[in-house]
Amino acid sequence: MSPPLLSVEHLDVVYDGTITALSDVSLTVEPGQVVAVLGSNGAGKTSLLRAVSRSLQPYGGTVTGGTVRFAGEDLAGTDAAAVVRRGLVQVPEGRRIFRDLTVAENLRAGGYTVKDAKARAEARDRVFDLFPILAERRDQPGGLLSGGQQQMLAMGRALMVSPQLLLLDEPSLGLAPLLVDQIGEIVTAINQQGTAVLLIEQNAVMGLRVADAAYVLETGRVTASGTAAELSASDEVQERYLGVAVPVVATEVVEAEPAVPTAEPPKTLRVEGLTVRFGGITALSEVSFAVEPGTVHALIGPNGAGKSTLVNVLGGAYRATEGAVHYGDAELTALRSDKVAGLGVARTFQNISLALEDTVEDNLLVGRHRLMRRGLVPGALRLPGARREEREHRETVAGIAELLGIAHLLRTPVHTLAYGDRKRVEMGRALAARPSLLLLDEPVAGMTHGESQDMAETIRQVRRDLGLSIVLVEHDMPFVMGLAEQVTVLDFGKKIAEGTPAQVQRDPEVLRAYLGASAAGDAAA
Amino acid sequence: MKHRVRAATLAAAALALAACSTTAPTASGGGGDDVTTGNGVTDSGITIGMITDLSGPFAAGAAVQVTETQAYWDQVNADGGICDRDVTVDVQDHGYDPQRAVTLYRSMAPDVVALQQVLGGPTSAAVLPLAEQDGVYVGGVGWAGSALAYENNQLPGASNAIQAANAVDYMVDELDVPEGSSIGVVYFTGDYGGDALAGAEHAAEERGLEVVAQEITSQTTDLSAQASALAQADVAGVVLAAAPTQLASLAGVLSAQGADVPIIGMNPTFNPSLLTTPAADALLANAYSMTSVSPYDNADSAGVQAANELYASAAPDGAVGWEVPLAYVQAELLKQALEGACESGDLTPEGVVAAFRDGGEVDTEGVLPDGLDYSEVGQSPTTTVFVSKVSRDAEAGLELLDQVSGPSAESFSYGG
Amino acid sequence: MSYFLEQVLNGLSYGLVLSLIAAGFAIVFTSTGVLNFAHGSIVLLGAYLVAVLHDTIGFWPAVLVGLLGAAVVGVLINMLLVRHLADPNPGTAAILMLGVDIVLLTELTRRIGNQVLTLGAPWGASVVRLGDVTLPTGRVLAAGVTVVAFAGLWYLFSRTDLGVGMRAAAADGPTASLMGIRLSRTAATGWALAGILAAVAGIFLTSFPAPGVAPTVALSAFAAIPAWVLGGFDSVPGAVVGGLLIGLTSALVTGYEAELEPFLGAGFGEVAPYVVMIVVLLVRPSGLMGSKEAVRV
Repeated sequence: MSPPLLSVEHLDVVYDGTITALSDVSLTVEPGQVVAVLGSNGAGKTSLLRAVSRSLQPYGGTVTGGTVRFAGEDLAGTDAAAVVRRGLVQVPEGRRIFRDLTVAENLRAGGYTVKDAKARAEARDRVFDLFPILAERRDQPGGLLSGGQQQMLAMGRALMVSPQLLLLDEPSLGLAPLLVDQIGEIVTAINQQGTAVLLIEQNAVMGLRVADAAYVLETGRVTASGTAAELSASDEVQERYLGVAVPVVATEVVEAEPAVPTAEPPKTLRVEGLTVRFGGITALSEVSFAVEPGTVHALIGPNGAGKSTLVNVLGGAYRATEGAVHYGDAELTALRSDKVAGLGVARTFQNISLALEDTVEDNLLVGRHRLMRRGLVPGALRLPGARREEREHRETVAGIAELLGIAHLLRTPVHTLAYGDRKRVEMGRALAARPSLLLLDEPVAGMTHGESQDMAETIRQVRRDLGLSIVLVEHDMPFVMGLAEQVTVLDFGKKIAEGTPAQVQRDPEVLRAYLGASAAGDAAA
Repeated sequence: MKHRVRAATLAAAALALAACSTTAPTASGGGGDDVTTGNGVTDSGITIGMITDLSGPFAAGAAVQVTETQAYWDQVNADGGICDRDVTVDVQDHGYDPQRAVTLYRSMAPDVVALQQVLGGPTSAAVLPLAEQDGVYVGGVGWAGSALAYENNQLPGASNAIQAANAVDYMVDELDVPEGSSIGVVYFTGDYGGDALAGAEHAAEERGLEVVAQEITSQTTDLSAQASALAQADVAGVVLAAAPTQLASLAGVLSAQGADVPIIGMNPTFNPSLLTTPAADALLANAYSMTSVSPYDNADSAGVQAANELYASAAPDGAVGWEVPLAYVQAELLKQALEGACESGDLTPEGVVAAFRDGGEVDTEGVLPDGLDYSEVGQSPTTTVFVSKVSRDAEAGLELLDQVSGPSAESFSYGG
Repeated sequence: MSYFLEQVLNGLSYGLVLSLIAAGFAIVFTSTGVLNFAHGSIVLLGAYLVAVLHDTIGFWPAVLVGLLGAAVVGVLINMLLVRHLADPNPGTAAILMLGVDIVLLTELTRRIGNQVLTLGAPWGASVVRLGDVTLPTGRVLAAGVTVVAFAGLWYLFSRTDLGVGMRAAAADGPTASLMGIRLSRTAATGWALAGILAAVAGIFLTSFPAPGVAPTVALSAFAAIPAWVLGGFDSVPGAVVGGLLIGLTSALVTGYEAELEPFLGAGFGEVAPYVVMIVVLLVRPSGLMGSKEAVRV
């Protein structure tokens, strides 16, 4: 019997000599198989891929025990480049395409180790067959591609070496449901051409759909494994990763008096005929909608539909080309970005932007900056007034941390926190400014179903206790549908639908442009 | 303006110092003689200092000077020393770093009676005021007029302004530059270049010439743009206060552009190795040198001959150049000051300064012009300079033409 | 008019030489993230090798040795010092490079002494006349060689695997190594290229109209720093434009110093490059062609 293509045995991985990322992990990939690894953030999925592709070292990680064999050969002592030459390629998380290089140059870099011009031309043709859009846009810089196209480029780049085993790290992260389905189909297509795939996915539905076998990784250990069918049937996997057990229910608008009132009550946000152009590109075109005070309003749509542009206009970072946004009586689009915060608008970012070395408390205090009346000098001199004010700020921040469930982490440096907690810290920083309108840009991207349900509960609580309005951009449909009262759907910068979650889920335009066929099936069921 | 104030306060300080040293001798006399001694002088020995650049940009030239200096004092010691004492030279390397020069001076000052040299503009500028406070003699620090303001500094010959004024006079009197024409002045930023520019401007006004000034730094090694500008202004001659690289570049480019005009460089602007560069022909045709110290090739000067012989025996394969007579004459000036101090019975640092400032005659056997006068603080000790022409036949590439003291040089006055 | 044209051509040809040095700064920065303050002494080293060898082995073989020597020294600096830096902080690396510069420069200064070493270039002090305009042959050659060198660089970076790999490694090293691109190799190539460019620049900076090799040549490399910075730290095309801009500015400001002096004061030619740099950075903080990421490092 020939050895398995990849065989990981009793693998231990440690970062910086102290932090254990994996312990005693064993896993097998047979030739031609698709194997999925499921798990929440911080479970060690990426460390597993890095250990296999021999790229732990730049991140300070080392293999302290166990072996990784590829086609029967121990990979210990080989470097990343040598592993690639043997036909084992990793597509990193977050796509990581070379933005300033053209599509063709990205592929060329991918085929760096292939010296045979003919083999390389064939590989490129296969990639173009698989992703015709890349052939069409071959001379454009990679940075101009949409999120889904970038994922295709990242995979195409890896396929340039015609690998025997492809390692995919979170290929569906941050992509619209329709694209997630496409990525799944592509993985299957790649597999059918004879390439084995080791797939890491937080989207367990997609992962289990394309995989033959799967492993569940929790805090560095394999807690379950089996065929994809076996795991799909397991209760635990269903609850934590597939979300089957949790019914999706729209929440009622809570009229209760807020426990910690905002500085000012929320007002109506009215977006009227908003158009934004960058050079010749129209990112938003005559978009209008309104957010009622105290509600959760979701913006959904495919990647590149203009959702982030819209949030950036609301946050004051981008200027409107035409149209206006009013918050209460104030015209938000007429204000400088630093004045927008003064209206009581605060936001979080798609990519977490925290000061990693500082404590949670310090990061939250940054959010209080706008409200600090006393200047630097009294603060530095620690005058009595400044001390009293500082104490007040610390109390406010502690209250918010309590609300978000991170009070026990206040003195902890951010870089040691798990992903979900960092997302909460970022939300806490926005809330520290006591906004009456909170803009959340992809708050649960990269979270498993269980984690995103926890986050949804936190957001409900925040809305209830603080009594503010929330505008939300997110791709996780169960999350959005369970949280929002109103949904606005964007596509190519235009509003294509609007209504309650139930209404938009049935809208044929939305199904075509965004949710895709599988959602149509779900909705029908 | 600055100089005048400086000179006035200095004169006062000097008086105070002189009073101090005569009324309160700093150390007991020893041995059999009745000489008052101080820092750096014992019964049997005298220590002098030399803070130079053995690891920085001027290391090569500095090494020649150190060799010559050592040889000079070895010979003095062999001839019986000074005041019956052997002279030791304490050589330290500042690497052209003013900070280090100051540190070295501080550690050296209690142990030396005088400093024969502090090499380099910024380094000597850092040390001179400290040494002045301590009343310590400082010899060679270049020829910038700013150093003249220090009572304790003995300039080896005419200052840069005097050289430049003479250069202008020489152009008019000997090189057929007509009244009413323009001359270029290309000069380094800083004391050296600024002093030369002042001298040239004074002389140009006296002789009815227009000055076209071009300021450069030592980083400017390609003078194409400057040369074009000078050619465009149709200059009849150029005064250059820079370094050898700039001389070669300027001469080469001017000649390539058909501007066949004399270029007169100040003290350190010529180096014999320039004759191996592509600019050699242009230099031979048009380059002159206006120096405070005699060039290496000077058969008429007994002093220069002695200097060269000394160097040839100390370093038979050493590079020859203007550093040889310079180092020799700096040592010679200090020797005469030490002897003067010995004669007046005050071999203290202050005594050495007083000795060279006493107005007595200084004879360097032709290495420096005759008639040097160090009695007036703030003015150049002489208005006479050496004129040489670049030549393949002369040793070290400079053929001595004359000693001159032009009318503009004589009418130039610092602070006037 | 011909005077203006002459200053412009002088400025452009000098600017091209500066852009060779600036491009070397940019290439080392993108391939290893190091602000290579030892670059100036590598410029000097290249020229020095040609100067000491041309008599014995002839000018062209000496040029070859000069280019290779500078490349090898660059690669060695990277291999022995930069790669083993425990702390990959750009500040630490920059200070290390200042140290390397002092060591190299001290040794070269010691060897050169107070001489001005001639390069023995066959074009000597000859000039080319175009109508009323006179240009040194060396400068015309410099312009030609520089254009060829940049064409070569363009070809390398856009048409060869190695070049595309270098750009990929510069953009995202960890990801590039997942494609099998060895970062040690792209880094070494970057240093070698920078060394070769430095040596070419050194040869033109020390041949007519400059007289020869003297230690101050290393300082001339610093004149390329404003060109590098205003072009954007990480952009080779930016370095070319920056070099041309700086060369032109200094030539024109110096050439018209007499006319400009009442407004700008004497010696403005020396500070003009820095003034241009500051003005450019005020308008475009990441330089003419730099990427924003790079400046944030």
